[in-house]
Amino acid sequence: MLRDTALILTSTLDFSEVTDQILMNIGRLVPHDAATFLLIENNSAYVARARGYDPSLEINLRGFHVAIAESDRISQMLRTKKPVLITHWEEHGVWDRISGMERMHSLVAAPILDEEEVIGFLKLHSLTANFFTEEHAKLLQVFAAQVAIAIRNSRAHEQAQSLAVLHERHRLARELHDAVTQTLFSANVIAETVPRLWQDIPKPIQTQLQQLQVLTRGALAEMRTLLLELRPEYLGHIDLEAQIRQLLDAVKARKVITVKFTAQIDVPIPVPVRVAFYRIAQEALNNIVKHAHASQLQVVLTTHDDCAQLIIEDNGIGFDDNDKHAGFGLHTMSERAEEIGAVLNVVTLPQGGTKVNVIWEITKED
Amino acid sequence: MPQTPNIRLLIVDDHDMLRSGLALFIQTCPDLSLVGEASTGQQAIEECQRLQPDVVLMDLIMPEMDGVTAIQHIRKHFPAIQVIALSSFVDEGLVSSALSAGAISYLLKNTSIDGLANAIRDASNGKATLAPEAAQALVNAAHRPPIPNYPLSNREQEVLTLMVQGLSNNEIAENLIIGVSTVKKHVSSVFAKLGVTSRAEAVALAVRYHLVAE
Repeated sequence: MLRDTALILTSTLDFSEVTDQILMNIGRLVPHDAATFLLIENNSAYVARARGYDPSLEINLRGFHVAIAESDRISQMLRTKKPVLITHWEEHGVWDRISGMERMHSLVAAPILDEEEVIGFLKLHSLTANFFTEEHAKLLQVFAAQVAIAIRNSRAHEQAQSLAVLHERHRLARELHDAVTQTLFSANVIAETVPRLWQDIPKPIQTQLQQLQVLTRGALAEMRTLLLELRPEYLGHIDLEAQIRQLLDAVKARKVITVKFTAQIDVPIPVPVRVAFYRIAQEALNNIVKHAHASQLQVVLTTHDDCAQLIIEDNGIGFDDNDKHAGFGLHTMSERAEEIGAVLNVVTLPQGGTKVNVIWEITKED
Repeated sequence: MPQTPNIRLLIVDDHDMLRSGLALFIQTCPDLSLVGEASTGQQAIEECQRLQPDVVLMDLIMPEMDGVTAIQHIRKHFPAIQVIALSSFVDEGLVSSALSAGAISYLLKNTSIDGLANAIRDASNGKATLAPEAAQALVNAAHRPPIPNYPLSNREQEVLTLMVQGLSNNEIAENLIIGVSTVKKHVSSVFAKLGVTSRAEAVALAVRYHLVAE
């Protein structure tokens, strides 16, 4: 009998199917009126599945959380890793919160152990007092060991699947990047070369060719930025100056705007600060492209003494505190600044335009 | 001031349009002359032998023989030829393997044609050029905290490789024809040696630092 259930339990790797199988098969070993399967998460146990109760009770139970400290029985099983048997269940404790439970008069429960760690519980209830025996408790514990294996397998399977998805995403990102970048680079080389081959090039064509260059450079920059979004673990590897230049290339392809960028980095900027500055620049430039109506943009990235500073200034229409888009962008930026303990200042300038100023200072601790 | 071409160049890339675009651009540089093209690493080696160019512009990701292998071969057999790696990617592993294979420079496929022309001239004089992103990748590699107790034993290496492929302990056990408990022992010593606490972390580390062959 036990071998049958083991076979059934390990026949599927899908977690919810596994838990369904558990509750469907448990009755073949230990008869009962109702069964609950609980899983531990942080400092509480929650009802992952319930079966055999009347429908309203089942609904009330679903997802029910019990803080471990609230339940003596659960605390006891966590400590002893042994089953619990209550022949006359009268004090229902936390379970009193669920109407219908008061009709249950005896219970047997066993911890589910993964290696030496309790990861959940199986609880069986009976409407009859004095229904369960020590033998039932022993059987339930053996069953719980099978359950542990089934859970472990299905969790490992889920983890492996999400890793496989991650791998596939990386592979796609690389291939897309490689293919599109090759094409854009070729287009860019040609757009830059043609004006040199053709000496007396008419002015309008010259302008168009220049625009073509700006577009291809912009698209190359967008491609690289997207690749970074698909593989955010590479964010820590970025060269901030090159990366901001890239964001600006993308801006130039989207807007007719004069861009001035100066960078003076004399001391290395720590990785989290680089990432936060990059994200702030991304957000600020996004706002400029979408809302600012600016014709000029100036970006300054500097380090001095123990500070790193980024200023992004435009001559657009400024922002309105009540505009919810602007508000959202500002919120994202200030969160980024807060994460690294930097000071962020965003103001509408008296002459119009917006100035984003972020300063990060090494905090000296003695 | 008319100049006679004095730097002989070979372009290696599997992308036809890219080669023809670069060929067009080289026409505009009087001191550079394009002597040949190749679309695989193997062809590049043959053309180097036949043409003895001064500088090779080498793509890294190509079918059949990849760029890094070709660079190794070219530098070993024709040490006078300088190779510039020209790639879409700046992965740490790729930058350092191209340079240790003997490439003098590493440029990205977002460089301007003037930047490219100057890098070719510099390479012919034995001067290196690194794209800022490539330089950053090298700095990161140098600053990376050493992996505690690396290297792994052969068995641990095999287990890690299968973990990266997404196999569960049971599947790894089947694959290597060993017991699940033995697999678990190897997995925990892999964790300890890599200084990680979870499977996902171990796999991420292995992928990032190219600890297993892909």
